[in-house]
Amino acid sequence: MGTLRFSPAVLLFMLPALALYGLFFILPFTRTVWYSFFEWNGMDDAVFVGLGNYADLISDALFRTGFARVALWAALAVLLKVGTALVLANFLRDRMPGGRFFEGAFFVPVVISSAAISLLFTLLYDPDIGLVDVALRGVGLGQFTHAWLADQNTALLAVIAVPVWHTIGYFFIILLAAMRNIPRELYEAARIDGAGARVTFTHITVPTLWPVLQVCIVLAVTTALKSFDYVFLMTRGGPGTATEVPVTMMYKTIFVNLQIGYGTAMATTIFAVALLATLAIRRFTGFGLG
Amino acid sequence: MHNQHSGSGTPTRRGVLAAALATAMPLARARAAAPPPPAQPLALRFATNFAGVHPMAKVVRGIIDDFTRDYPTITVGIEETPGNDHQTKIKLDASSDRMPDLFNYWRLDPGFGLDQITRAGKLADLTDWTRTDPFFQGLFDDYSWRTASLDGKVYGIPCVMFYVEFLANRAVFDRAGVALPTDWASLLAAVKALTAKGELPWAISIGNDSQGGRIYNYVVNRTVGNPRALRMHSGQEPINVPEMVTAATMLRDLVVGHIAADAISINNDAVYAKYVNTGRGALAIDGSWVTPTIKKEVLDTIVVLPFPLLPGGAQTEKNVERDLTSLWYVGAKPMRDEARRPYIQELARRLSSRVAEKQYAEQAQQPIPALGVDVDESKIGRVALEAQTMALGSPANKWIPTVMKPAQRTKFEPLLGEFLSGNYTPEAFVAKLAPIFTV
Repeated sequence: MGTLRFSPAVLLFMLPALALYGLFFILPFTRTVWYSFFEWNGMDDAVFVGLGNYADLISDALFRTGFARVALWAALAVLLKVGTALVLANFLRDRMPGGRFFEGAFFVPVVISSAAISLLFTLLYDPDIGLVDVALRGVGLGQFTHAWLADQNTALLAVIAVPVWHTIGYFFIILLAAMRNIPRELYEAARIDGAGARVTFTHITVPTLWPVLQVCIVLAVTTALKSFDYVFLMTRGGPGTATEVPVTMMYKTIFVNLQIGYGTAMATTIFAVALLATLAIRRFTGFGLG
Repeated sequence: MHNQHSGSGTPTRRGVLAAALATAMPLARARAAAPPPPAQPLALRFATNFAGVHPMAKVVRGIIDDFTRDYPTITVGIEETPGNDHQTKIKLDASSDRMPDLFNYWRLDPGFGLDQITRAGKLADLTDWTRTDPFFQGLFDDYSWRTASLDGKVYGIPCVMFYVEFLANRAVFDRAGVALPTDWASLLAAVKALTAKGELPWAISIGNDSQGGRIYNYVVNRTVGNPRALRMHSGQEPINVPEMVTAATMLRDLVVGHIAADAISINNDAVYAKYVNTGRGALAIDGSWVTPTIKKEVLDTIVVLPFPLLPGGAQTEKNVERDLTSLWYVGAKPMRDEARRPYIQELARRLSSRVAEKQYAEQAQQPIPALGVDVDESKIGRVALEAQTMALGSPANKWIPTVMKPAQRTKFEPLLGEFLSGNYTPEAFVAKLAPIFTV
């Protein structure tokens, strides 16, 4: 690990940024953690309950299930989102005719808001007019048509598929930019040594990209942990509680039930889990890095 | 037609007399108390869920436009939040101590969370004003004022009522060759026959705070009676009892397997777009506010039905779920501001005047709590009129979730949706209700 060295005078220039960071992150975060030790509805006097909210969280089966769901979400995000982005970027690594079109096409969904995408997919999944079922019926697979968001067995995967698809382009652009920075000499030397495309990809591209991939994995996992919009807009946690995840529970607890203390305990727990996940990913994916 | 709502839940001769007297009262008296326009510009905040296609939106906006025309130095910032999200908005305003000057909201019952907000001192106490201002004399009956009160103080001004209407699309029944139901047995037989014929018996959502909950309320109320149902759902009486299993069994027989595949994932409004206005659904059950959203050609084939009594049930009269559903409230802090108070009061008067209530009844087709309003029946429409007549002529059921705390509702509603999807046996469902409502 490197050592940060700078002149004390630099601190003066950092003060405005530090002040803003303190005001808009450290202070609200500290207050959030503080509230989690109280029972409070946001209006009356808060009652100190110590770790009571956390004890309740541990026995909250739905909250635990919610974490299992985002774990699945995170795993699928890494495999499908980062994986697909890596493959697509590798195909378009070398500039080719029409390549710019595909770069744009893959990235376009990213600029569309998650609200619009969620509405779009809600319609796509509709059992009567949705294109998914229409397409299935069109190719003779009518027996697989489904009310995708209404079935407890398919709703979660149907929701997860949306952000996974939606942000592939984001990772694609990051990985493409990183790939194009890999010195061409490495590939030329490999080709001279007789390496094929697969070997080049696994022995040059992936290892060279690894620090960037590591960032992508961290982003994919933490985004899954804190994703709220897609679930809220498509299912509101339903059917029943089948797509309830920790952040939607936190929202309902704080803003609907006005259980600020319990909700902030959820928020703090989600933060802690995200932090631990990030550290774990860095720890377990850091092998071989200088 | 005079609209009135008595404490016993039925129109009374006294109520009609009061209405007639009130009609004779000169409306100009309220205008005489109107303050002159403020010399300095004044910005008022008005929060509402009468937004978008809500039938009240246009009428309320028109009243506010008239107000700002008469008071050119006042601007009214309208903060619109559709549907139940309005609850979240007001709760956030309360917890951040920035209540709007004036807003509409549901009753002061625990189910909507306004009781907490009121007890925290965020709402203006309107007791003195509403008792001394001649404008309010004879405007609403005692029941409405009691509903607008908490702990003996008046916090709200009644706006509109609701009732739950049970509608059958005769065209669907005719298409399937099934007779319209007249009692519980024929209702059960009808939904089964409709399903067998490939028709959709229930045009409902069973998601949170949905039409599925209306059927639950009816079946539970019919089985155990409304007062007992309210006690059970507020933790004052055990809920895991054989009568509730009976009710759940009847509910299952009536609904499970007879709803659309996506009934649990679509929202209440989408039900009208997909299943009611397309003429696909045979039966609909919902709050009276939806009638104006039904297409005319569908309304022409709609028949208003009473929800049947259940065999062996505690309820022996065909009570209808109805109550005040929307009231006007004033933020405590703005009301203390002497520069704002007269104009908040004037806007509140205009929004709750007989002229406004007449518009709510005729243009938005909402049942109204105001007495002495001469409503032109021809403007309400046949279905709304039939449903109102049935509702106002029947004893009232209170909406069951009104006694639940918000945290209980967020557990109860998904559970009910799962049950209506066919996920649990009636016994398991009732067993799962118990921990939610055990205090």
